[in-house]
Amino acid sequence: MAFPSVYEMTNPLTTVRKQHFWEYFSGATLNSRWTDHGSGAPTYVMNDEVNGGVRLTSSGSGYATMGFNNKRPFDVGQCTFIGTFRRNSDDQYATAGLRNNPVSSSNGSYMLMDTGASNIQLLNNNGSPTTTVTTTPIHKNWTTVKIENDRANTSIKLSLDGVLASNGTSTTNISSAVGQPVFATLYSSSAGTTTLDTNYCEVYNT
Amino acid sequence: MTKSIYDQLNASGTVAKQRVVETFSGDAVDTDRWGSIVQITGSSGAVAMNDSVDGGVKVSTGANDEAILAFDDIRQFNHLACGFVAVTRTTTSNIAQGQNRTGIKYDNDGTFNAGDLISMECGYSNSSISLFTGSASGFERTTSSLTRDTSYHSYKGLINNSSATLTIDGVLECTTSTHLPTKKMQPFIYNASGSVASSAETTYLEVFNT
Repeated sequence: MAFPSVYEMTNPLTTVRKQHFWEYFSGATLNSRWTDHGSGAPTYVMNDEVNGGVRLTSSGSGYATMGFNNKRPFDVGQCTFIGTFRRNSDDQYATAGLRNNPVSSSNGSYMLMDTGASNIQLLNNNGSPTTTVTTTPIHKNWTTVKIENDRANTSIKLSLDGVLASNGTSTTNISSAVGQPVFATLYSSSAGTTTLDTNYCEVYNT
Repeated sequence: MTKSIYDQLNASGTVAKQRVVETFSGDAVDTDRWGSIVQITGSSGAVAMNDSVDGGVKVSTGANDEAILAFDDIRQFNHLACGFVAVTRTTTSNIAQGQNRTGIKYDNDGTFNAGDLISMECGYSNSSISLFTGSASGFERTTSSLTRDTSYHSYKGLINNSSATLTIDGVLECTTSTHLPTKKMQPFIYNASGSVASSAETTYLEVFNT
């Protein structure tokens, strides 16, 4: 059966749809909905590569971070984030998820791959931080990240490639702040170039 | 389960027709898609992304002004067979002084009473949310059972060669066969203010040929 509209693929008309966006990161340049919040001459370049998406590159002691320039239509604690993610560097701190401020960890909910740690982490914060360490080792493969923020039911669930991560649920310090999707990469222990790729991002309030 | 958006929107063997989906999320309005805001009356018309949950885009005007946001007269939608889905609202301190019309229209200007269009209408002198259709021969306002308000609603408008309908929040509310548009059309968001400032806030707009 064909849907009559894209709207009705995810919502019946009887439901007034909340803010919902998706981005394929395809084309000559990064869409202007995204803004550079980085430092140290970061770059955001579309990859000339199959499934390449966009590549964020940080250099030296700087960082590459892209968000919505503090236009925040999402409820950090009551929305779902889906993004594809690939980190490429040996010494790297790379994140994907929701943040109130693109350059602050406060009032966020995001996935972290840090080469200074063994496993993938879920970080959330409402002014006070919670770090949830999954049992999944960090890696350099493409992975689908899904973060279901559900303040109403006091949980944040991190799924990786369609499976709820083992030890991937947080139940404390869930934010009530407004938020925006943010991807970020920088070095972990020694200043140097890092890159992070993504070819899909979707966020919707629930 | 199909993996294709195309296949979920088009029956097998059919060629997809023109469609645009705008989610109004991000730092700025996509100016590759949307034209500059057109001042119809006054000069206070503005367009900006909202920094608020479910904020979308805001088309605003100061007192006694009106403005429209559209596709700079690139018109790819068929007045004989097309539709729109919008989530939009009117924001103002006095609903009797703010008016939001969102839908599909021929001219990127203030031609409504003798213009070619189909849209929702909420606010100002009309106490009911309505379907608004127009052509060179005049306009038709078909009222729904919903009183004008400042809440978001889902609107689905459909038009063919004999009638136009408006479904609000999933309920078919308005049907007309009068003053149907006769020219190709483009998506638009229009806001007008009476004695106080007002805005049309929209989180979603989809337009498609059928």
